[in-house]
Amino acid sequence: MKGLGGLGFLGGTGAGLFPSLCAGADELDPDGPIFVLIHQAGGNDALNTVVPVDTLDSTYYYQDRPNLALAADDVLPLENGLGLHPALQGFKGLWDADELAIINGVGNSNPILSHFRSIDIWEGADPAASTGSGWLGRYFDHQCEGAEEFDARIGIDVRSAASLAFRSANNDAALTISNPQFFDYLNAEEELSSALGFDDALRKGIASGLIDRQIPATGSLEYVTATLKSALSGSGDIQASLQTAAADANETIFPSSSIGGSLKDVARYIGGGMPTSTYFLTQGGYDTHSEQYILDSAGRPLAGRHAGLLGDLDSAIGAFTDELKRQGVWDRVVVMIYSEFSRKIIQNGNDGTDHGAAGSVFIAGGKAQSGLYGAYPSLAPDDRILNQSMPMTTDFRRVYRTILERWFSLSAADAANLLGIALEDHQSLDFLAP
Amino acid sequence: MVNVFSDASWTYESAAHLLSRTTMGSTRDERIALFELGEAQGVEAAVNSIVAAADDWDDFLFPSWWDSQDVPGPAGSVTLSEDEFVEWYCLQLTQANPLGAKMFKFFVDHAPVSAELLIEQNRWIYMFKHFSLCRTHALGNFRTFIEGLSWDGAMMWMLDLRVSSRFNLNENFGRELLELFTLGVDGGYSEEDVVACTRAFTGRVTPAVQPDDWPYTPYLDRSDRFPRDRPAFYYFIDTDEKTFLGQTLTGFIPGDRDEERVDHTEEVLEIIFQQETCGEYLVSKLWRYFVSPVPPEGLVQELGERFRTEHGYELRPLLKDIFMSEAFYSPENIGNQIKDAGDYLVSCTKALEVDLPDPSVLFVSLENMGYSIISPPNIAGWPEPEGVGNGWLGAEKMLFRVNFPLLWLQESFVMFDRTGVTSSRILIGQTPPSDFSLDRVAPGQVRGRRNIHLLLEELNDRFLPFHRLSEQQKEFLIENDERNYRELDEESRIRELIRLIMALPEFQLQ
Repeated sequence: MKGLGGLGFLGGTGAGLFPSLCAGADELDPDGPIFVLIHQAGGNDALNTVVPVDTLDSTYYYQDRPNLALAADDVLPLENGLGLHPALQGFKGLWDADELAIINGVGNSNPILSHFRSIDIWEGADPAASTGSGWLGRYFDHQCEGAEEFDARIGIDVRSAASLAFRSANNDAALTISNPQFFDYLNAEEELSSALGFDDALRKGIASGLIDRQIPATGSLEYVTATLKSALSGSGDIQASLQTAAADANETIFPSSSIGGSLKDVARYIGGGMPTSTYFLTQGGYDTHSEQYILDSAGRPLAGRHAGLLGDLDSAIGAFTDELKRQGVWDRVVVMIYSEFSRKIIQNGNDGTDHGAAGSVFIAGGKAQSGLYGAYPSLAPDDRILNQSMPMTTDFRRVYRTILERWFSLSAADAANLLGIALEDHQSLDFLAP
Repeated sequence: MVNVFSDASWTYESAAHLLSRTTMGSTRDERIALFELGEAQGVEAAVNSIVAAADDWDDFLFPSWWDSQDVPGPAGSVTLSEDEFVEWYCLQLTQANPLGAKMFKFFVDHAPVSAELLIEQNRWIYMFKHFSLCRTHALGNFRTFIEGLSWDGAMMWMLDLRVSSRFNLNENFGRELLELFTLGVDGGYSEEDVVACTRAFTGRVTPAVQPDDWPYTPYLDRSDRFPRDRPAFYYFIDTDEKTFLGQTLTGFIPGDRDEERVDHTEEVLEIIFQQETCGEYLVSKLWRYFVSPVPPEGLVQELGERFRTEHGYELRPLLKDIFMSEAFYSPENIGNQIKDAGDYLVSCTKALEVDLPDPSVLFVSLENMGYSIISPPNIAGWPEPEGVGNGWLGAEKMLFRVNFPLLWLQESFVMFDRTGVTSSRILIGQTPPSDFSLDRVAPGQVRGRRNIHLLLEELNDRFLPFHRLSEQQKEFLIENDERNYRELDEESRIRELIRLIMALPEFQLQ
């Protein structure tokens, strides 16, 4: 191996070009709280996930979903007449262990049935979808306040494209890595390593472009440069994490699904001691306009796409939980699972459902407090919004505020400020203890 | 009136900028020729030379099975690899009429389809038909393109149009037609309009849900015609009265002797294309694609109005408006757009004057750059090349891009997949060697050690036409070159210099 040490250059001749951490702020805490955010992309059908089998509104549920509705006998009972989709066995185990909170009726004050606008609302924490920065990006900025830029390792976007959620207000770039094998080249044999361009010469070449540049107004060059820097500064740690995990014969076996692979990567980063506080993952496929279900052998709508997606998520979360417990860090981790919107109360004609509004959010973790938070939305016809969709009962920023305040220990005023909310209007919830 | 760029303001940099945004990469000779044309005959002549160039899609043939009864996949006897499809597409990006290629790429992104969501037995027919639709109308009429999408088998699968009937409405296509294809999310429609639009587009049933022996397979037809009349499906079409964007469409019985209409879709499209937001939406997307994410105040409205009323949604005159506008040449727009993956691929081949890599390498390279042509991230397409927060360039994409030119410079590159890193030397060993020629890029007379400053000038202009190498960058490159002078032969030394220049952040910009 010659000259490819991940951080070697950063501490060497280039010192000062790449401030290694948020200069002037506290260094990232390798034992600090970890937040894992999972987006169920496409619009998860909350009504068939947290199912109102025996509530005051159950009649509407069964009337409007003659083929799609799940029978009371088939769901995993929670409380208040609600039950989990039977594919969520692992979730039920977390619930029973007092490690899974469910927040129902989560939405925003400006609901819209567009995937992309809704995603911008969620990721920007802004019902007007006009901030241009993400709620976590603003949190990173806040953590590195006073520094010129934040450490790219503060957050890892475990996706192929950078999300709005991580977008800083200052053009800084967190790491975006859907496939850590990109950083595995340090392992490669000598011949392969030397064929690779990311060596000392390249590092210095890139660095030579970083100083004394006129940065154009819209910052494209600044952005490219920041991204290059994040790749450089992250590569050493990523590499170390992979090597640590690869050497561990007792690592939990993860399912081979895409979300299983992503959560395995995150568990490896955590196990390898990455100082990262926030991970963002996506599980796609929830846009179930057609063939949301197929009938199982007993004639129940328990097979098909939606059940498959929930099953993949459930087994991936199960392995993730097991692995973090094995590592002894489950109490350091909170997992939040949400979707950009839910689906309509009525089924459509293609064994599916069209876009809807408010839905359910899950919070799992060693410190999460099981229970139902946020009232389940009314299904009564007069209460429906946007052509047969569920109205919200709980503003999504109350969930964010709880995370910022009770997990990341921000002051109430700082949390409210980052989320653009009034303190008294959007109180924290009790899924985490104050 | 949109301010027009004056002939007096035309410079070499204007010509370079115009070429860079309309062609995905140019040579210095091309830049000089365009500059001289503009100087002699004015900006309009220069713009016309790009906008008026004729389509040449016929030069890029479909595979030989296209005109036979044979089909690739489980139902037929021919095979087709994904590599071949991607190569067919990329050949057009690099070799077709450049503005046509650029607009082809735009429409593939504007209305993206995912091969894996299409029924396997007809997958490649649908894919070729869809891409053919995108290229045929690339410099044609936007409205015709949109109507074509509603008859496009791939899109009908992608957005469930194939199963939406009057009895079983499915909003997927109706919503995205308004939100993503024509009006934009703020386009002024309501949820009721989504339903009315969905009701109009009913009864377009694809063969997969027909009986096996059903002879009527218009969506697999190898021609470009739209099968508007489809009597077998009248029963499934919602022809009841409906109100769409404030206009009432009277009900009728399809097949009635005095009735020319089969459904309400032509009226719905007419209403959509009457909306001011329809012209504005496409203009704002095109401005972002060709110029910047922040158009000047009022420009989108004005160009959108002209596009809708004067140009009748013809794309060439709209593109001419854009490339003639003063704002297009505004200094903050010069050399300040991040190349998307397609731009990056083509710009590498043009700057190095090389051909595309072998199809097997090409496919995986584009995947590694986040541009999986046959499986877009979602129905909104690939992330926009809009600078800050640019989704094309996460850390791993950046690593890959920086290493990518090694493919030609050292006939080596590295692929990444979930199982690990593979050296493409294995692949390269099976494929023809790179056609990179140092003579084309660095003429002999500037290669000597004493001419390093001349060589840097030459390479600066070729690879970074909008940026001057800074003193620090030059210092570094010269220092590095000095070291290499002792260790490497001349050819390797200069290849290394090129590699480092192509790895600078500035090479990611156009």
